[in-house]
Amino acid sequence: MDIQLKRGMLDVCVLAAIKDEDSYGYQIIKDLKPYMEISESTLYPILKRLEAGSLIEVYSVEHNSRLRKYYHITVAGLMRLQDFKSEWKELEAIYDFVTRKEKDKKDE
Amino acid sequence: MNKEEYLIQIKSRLKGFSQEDIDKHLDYFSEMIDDRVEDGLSEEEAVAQMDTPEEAVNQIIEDVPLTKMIENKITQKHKLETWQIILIVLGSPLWLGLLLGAFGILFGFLATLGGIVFAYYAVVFSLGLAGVLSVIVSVASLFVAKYTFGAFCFGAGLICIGLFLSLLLTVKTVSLAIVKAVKAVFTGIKKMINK
Repeated sequence: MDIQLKRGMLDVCVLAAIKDEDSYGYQIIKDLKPYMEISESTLYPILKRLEAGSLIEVYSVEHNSRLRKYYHITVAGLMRLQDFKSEWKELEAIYDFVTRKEKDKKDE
Repeated sequence: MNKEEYLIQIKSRLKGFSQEDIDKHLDYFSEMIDDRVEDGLSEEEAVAQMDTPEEAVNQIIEDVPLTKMIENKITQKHKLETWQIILIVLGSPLWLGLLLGAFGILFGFLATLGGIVFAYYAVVFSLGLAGVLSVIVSVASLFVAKYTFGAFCFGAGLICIGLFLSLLLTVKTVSLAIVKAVKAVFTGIKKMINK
C-alpha cells in the first residue's frame, strides 16, 4: 500500500482501538492483532503524532510498582474517526465505479 | 537478549536525540517488555517478539523530520562544560567567519543560478520582441518605399520569431531542471549536517 495512505490508515486504527475505552501500548497492539500486525516501533511514532495533533491524551497510571502510559481519545480524535467513515463512503463509491466499468466490459 | 541489553542497544542508537526523547523511548520499550512479561513471557521471549533494536530505531528515525533531527543535534550541544563554552566564544571570529563565508558562497551560487535563468528568459523573450518589432518595421518600410530594407527586416523578424517559438518550449524544462538542482544541493547539505 502507498506509504502515505498506510500512515493515515494506521493513525485511524489506533484511534479506533481506544475510542470506547482508554488503553495502553501493548493492549492496543493486541487489539489490532486480528486485523493487522503492528509492531511497537510502528506504533510509537503514531502515538506521538496523534498526541502532537491533540487527537489523543496521555496519562500515567501506577501498575505493579511501575508507571504505565494510558492513551485517551479526545473530541478531535473522535471527529477524525467520523471524517474517516465519510471518506470511506466516498472511497467505496469510487471503487464501485472503477470495478463496475470492468464488469460491463467483460459482459460485452 | 534480555530487557537490559535490549534497552542499552536502543539507547546506543539514539545518539542524535535529546535526553528527554531518549528517556521517553526507553520508557516506552521498557513498558512493552514488562507488559509482555506480565502476559507470561520471559524477557528473552518478549524481546524476540519485538523488532530488533536496529529495526526499531530505523522506524523511529524514518518518522522524524530532518529539520527536527538538526534541531536535536543543535540543542544537544547546549549541554556543554563551561570551558567548552569559553572556547567556542573565543574561537567565534574564526568559525563564525567561516560559517558566514559558507553562507555567502551558497547565496552567491543561488544568485548566479537565478541570474542565469533570468538571462535565459530575457534572451528568449527579447527574440520574440525583436521579431515582432522587425515585422512591424518591415511593413512600415513598404510605406516609405524602402523595399529591400523592408524585406530584410521581414526576414530577420521571421527568424527571430521562429527562434523564439522553438526556445519557448525549452524555458519550462530549464526552469524545472534548475529547481531540481537547487533541491538536490539542499538535500546534500542536510545529509552532511546529519552525519
